[in-house]
Amino acid sequence: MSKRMSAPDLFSEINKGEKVGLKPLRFNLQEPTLYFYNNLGVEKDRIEAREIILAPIFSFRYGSGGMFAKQDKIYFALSSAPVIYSYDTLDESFERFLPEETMKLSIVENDDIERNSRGNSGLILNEVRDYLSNYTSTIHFGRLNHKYALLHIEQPGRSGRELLVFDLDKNQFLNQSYTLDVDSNEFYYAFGNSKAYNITFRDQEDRWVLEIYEVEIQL
Amino acid sequence: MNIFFILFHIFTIGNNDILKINLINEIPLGEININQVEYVDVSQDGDLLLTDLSRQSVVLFEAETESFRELDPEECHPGYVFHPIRAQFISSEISVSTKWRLQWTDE
Repeated sequence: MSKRMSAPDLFSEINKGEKVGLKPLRFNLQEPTLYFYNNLGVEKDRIEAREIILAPIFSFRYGSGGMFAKQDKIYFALSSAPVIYSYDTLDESFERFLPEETMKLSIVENDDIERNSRGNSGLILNEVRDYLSNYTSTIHFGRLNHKYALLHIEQPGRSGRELLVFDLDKNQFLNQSYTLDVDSNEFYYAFGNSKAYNITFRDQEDRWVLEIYEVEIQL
Repeated sequence: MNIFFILFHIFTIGNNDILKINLINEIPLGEININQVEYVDVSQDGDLLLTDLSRQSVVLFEAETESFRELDPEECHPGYVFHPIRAQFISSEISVSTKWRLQWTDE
C-alpha cells in the first residue's frame, strides 16, 4: 500500500479534480479498493473498502457506475447495485446510502458470500439480498448540479428503469423514485450542468444521435 | 439546432411531478462512427468526451459549435496503438487513460 496522503493534500487533490471536472481517482471493483491519482495519473493513495460494499463486486465496465467529489467527500456507485457510497477524506470513513425502503432494514451480522448469475462473487448482507436481486445494474450515477446527484438504475423485474434523486446537502435520497416509461429510449450516460445526456442509435434514421435533456427538480 | 428535431416532452414519473426531464436538443453525430459508448465525461462548458472501447476511439463534442470530432494521436505519436479506456476533461486539457496517459491541449 502506498503512503497515505495527509488530509490537506488529499483535499487539495480532490478539489482540483472537482474544479475542473476530473475525477483523479477510480474504484477497482474486484478488490475493492479506492484509488487516488494526481492529474498526471500517478497513484497517490489506495484505500480498501471491503467492509462497506454491498452486492456483487464486479462489473464488466471499467470503473464503476459513476464517481465524483464534492468538498471533502467522494461519492460513487457500483454498476452492480443501486447503492451510493461516500468516502469522507477528512474522517477517512465510508458511508453507504440506500433508498429509503431499504434503510429500514436491519443489518445482520451474518454476512454471506453470494455468487450472481455471472458467477461473480461479492459480499451481500442477508437483509438486502432480495432488494438487490431486483436490480440488474446501475446505468449511471453522476452529479446533476451543486445540490443533487442522480442514480439511474435498471430494474428488469419491473420492466423499467428508475431515476433516484440524491440530495447532496442532506446526504439522503428523496422519498420518491421515478420510473421511466418502459417504451422510452432514455438511458442517461452522463449528468452535469443540470442536464442529462444520452447517446443512442436510431434504427429508423440509421444514425447516432446525442440527446440533451434538461433536468428540473421541483420541491 | 433544428427546431423540428426538438421534441418537448415531460415525463413525470410515479405519482408526482417533482422531476421533469425535457429533451432540449438532438444532435446527429454525422460522419462520426460509434459502436458502443462506454463512458461519457461532461465539462463545465457542456462539452462531452465519449469513450468507445469497442472502436478504441474517443469522440469530442464541442457544445458551442455543436460539432463532433474524433481524437487521433497519430499526428503527435505516429504508430502509437490507441487503446483508450477513459477520457476526461482536466481544466482546458483532455486526459485519456490508456496504458500511457495522453493529454490534448488547446494549442
